[in-house]
Amino acid sequence: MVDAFVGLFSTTAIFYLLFGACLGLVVGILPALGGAAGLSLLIPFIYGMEPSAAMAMVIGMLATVTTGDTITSVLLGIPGSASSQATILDGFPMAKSGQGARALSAGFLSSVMGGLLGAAVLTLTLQVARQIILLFGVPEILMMILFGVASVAALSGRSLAKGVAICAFGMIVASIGYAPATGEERLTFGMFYFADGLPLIACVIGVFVVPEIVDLVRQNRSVSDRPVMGSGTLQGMRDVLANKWLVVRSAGVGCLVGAMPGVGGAVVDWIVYGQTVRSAKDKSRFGQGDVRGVIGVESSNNAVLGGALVPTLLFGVPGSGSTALLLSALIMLGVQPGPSMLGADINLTYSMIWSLAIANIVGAGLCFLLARHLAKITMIPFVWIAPFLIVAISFATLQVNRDPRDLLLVLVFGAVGVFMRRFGFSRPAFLIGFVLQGNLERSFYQTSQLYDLWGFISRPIVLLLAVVVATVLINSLRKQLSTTVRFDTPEHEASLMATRPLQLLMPVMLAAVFGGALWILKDLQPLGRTFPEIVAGIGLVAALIAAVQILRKVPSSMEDQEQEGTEYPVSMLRVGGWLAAAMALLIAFGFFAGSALFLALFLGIEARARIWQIAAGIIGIVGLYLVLMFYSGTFLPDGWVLSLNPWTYF
Amino acid sequence: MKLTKLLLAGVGAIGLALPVAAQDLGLSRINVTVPFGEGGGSDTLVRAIAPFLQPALTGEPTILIRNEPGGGGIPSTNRFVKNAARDGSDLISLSSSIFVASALSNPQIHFKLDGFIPVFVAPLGGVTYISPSTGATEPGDVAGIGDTTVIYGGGRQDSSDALTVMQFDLLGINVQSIWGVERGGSRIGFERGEFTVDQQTSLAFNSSVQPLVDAGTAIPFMTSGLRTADGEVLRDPIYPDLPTFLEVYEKVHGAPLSGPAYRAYTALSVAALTAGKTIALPKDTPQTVVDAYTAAFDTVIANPEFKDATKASLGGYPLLTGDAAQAAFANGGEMDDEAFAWLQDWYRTKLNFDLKR
Repeated sequence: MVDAFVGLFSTTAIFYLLFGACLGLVVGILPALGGAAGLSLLIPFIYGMEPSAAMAMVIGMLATVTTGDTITSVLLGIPGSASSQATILDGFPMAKSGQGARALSAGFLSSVMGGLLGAAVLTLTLQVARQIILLFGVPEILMMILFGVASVAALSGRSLAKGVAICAFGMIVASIGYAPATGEERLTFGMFYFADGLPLIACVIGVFVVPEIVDLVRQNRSVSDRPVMGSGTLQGMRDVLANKWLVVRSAGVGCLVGAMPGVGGAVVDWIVYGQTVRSAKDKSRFGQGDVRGVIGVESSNNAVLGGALVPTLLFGVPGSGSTALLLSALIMLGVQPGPSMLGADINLTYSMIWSLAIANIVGAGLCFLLARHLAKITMIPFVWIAPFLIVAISFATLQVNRDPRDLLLVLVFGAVGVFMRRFGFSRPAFLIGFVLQGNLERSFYQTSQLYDLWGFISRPIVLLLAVVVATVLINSLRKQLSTTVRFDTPEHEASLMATRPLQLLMPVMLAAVFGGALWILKDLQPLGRTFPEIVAGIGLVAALIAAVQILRKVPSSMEDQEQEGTEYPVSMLRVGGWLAAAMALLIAFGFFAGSALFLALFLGIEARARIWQIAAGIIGIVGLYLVLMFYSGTFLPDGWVLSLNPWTYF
Repeated sequence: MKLTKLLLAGVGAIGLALPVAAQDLGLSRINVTVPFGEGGGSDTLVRAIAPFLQPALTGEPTILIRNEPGGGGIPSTNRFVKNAARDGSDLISLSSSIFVASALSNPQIHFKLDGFIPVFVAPLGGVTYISPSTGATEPGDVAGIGDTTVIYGGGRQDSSDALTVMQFDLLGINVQSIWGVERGGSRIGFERGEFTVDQQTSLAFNSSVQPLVDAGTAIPFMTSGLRTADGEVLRDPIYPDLPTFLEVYEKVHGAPLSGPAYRAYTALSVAALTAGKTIALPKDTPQTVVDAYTAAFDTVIANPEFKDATKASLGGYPLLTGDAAQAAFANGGEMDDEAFAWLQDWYRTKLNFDLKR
């Protein structure tokens, strides 16, 4: 172990580690670009490198993505990567009220503590981790996933019926594609494009990012209307120390969920957020800027990697998208993960753990240095930021499948997301359904094939997890039923009544989707349709309940963000038009020429920018992505109309 | 006729005797399409080869690797067949999943395998292993299993995973197959005792299954063998003590596998294993270009540094170029109607899966 540490510092490995850490920060800060995307940029680079140096770089990159992404999530309300979406819930309101520096420093300190705890857990359990993982068979995995699904109850917002309906909608959307049990094409409308299922990134960007961009552009102001307070940094650190048990617990959950292949590391942040809210005594400030929301989430998402490395290294079974690529990278370097990682290759294992720890410290250190300056971004009018964000999310989308049609999917999910945000349909609940559906269906189906009922319930860990899930559900339900929602004022009530027909639109459309799905599914084999049929059935009931509640004017079911007193000087159509124009330009002319055109048009018309400003903006962001692509030797799709991608010419 | 052959052989011999000359294609840039994402098997292969291929071609052309993931590699391969330049500037890296999809007549595939000229083939090998709980005590012990149902966990029915189920089924063993298992999940499930048979590549077998064999919780059962250019199946050179599936079949049934079942099995196993990882030119590429690439790849695989660099990712099986590569391709994928009808019926009755043609 000490050898590995010395080895890391006495060779060039430490430089690769630092390079990886810096790249990870950039990838983390760039909106919606996460560890998996960053790693696919690095993989062409590492071929033929010495394994410990290459892994130092890879781990360095993965470890700091979840630190850097905090910055974007807190300051702009847009996830820097998929693992810090829940940070937005409390981090962004803090930034809006001028407490950006405090939220950031709390986030960074929790990140580094979570990351270090993850590395420590990995070290301490390394020798017994194989046995622990082998205790978790398919039934236990099933229960772990149900634990994740149960957090929907806490994340539903005011109306449980809406939360359940939208979670079921997420699951139905995710069940598009090959049915795992029977291999049939399901809900694809005969289109091969849908056969692989819808890409997660397009869904995340559409549902979480697009509505925020739309909202901020429509408000036509800067994120924060108050000057940034410089003293927040120390306060944020004190907040973390005051909540040290929250840090430890969240990191533990992050580690455990990360370590179980097929549970869903992608939604750890939401699971932990739900848990943080549930366990807090005073819940009133959550969602409006409670620093505990930031601390819980940020300590968990950095701990995930430590946990996820366990099955990747010891079994050669990746637990997430980014560790799947890490596994490929190892094989590429000539290292076959497996039990030998504890024997002949133990030094490489320890060197990876050291890299994890060091990268976390370096990443958080750099972030602390940057934070105060970056926080000023909240003072810039949003109209100057929005076009760059749109370019950035397009890049993140294209990077995954290199398929321009995914951009259209972003628009569709974006429209759904705008409705969800406006009418109080929990977007986290949707995401949990979308992400967990695949593993839930697989483990449900495999458990039913491999175990009978007695075999299932006689497993101690299953029983334990069943008790946990039941407790979580009962607590959340009791809370939901005991709190009566009332309208704030008679005027508020009147304004909500006025848009009641519009509010009915979502539940009615959802009910139609569920009904349609049930109708299409009936032609499939029983094993291919049972699970989505159950989901669509539950969704249909929940959507109808929500509709009836709105008809009967039940206060908890009535919600319309547009009636909350925010001023929207820019029309919805105008912003939507810009988004559609951006996607059309990107599809027609390829990423680079398309985004340059879009930036020029948007900055010129909406921000009334001068020519040199437009040029600087284009060179800045398009250049950044061009450099990323050029040095990694990767490509983006050509345009459909005219290919203006630079590599055609050099 | 004989004289021509002799003359050609002489020319070939002179060619071999001369110092290895770099092959001139007159190109400054070569595009290699990888129809999968970065880090996959096909991608790794190309990235391993590129630094060795470049100096083997005159003018050291730049080799650009272009990943086009999505749709299991099919859309990108379709595009390649349609658009690729025939002057040697376009290559594609193909994998067994594309060949299997083609063998199973996936309706999305718009090409035939003769749309490619393989210039480099790296065959794959696999070891099937079994849990002692099934009653088996040694390699090829079908009798020991008897009426016990073995349980196999696979990814998708229309992938090479079906081959393992087919092998056990043809041996007359009751096999229950469970689908939708994620990458690596079948091995971990085997360790937990949920699955009782599994198949792994030699690399994964050596690192993750051998310790189980040593501990007595897994028994290596058979291999798929290695097919020679003339179609004979030999024992896997890495596991010479393990019988091949065809050997075990003959021992159990007293006669070798034959008829449409044999042809269907052969087509599928060539697609999944023999043609394993392939680098190909599009059809109609001039013979001079094919020859130039054959010679260039010969230079690559003769390089000891290349062997060292790829031992881990290619498993140490003999690598094929030129005619040998094209021979490995033959029998692959395309099935006669009778064999396909047998396969369709097998899929329907055993896997409850409809193969469309």
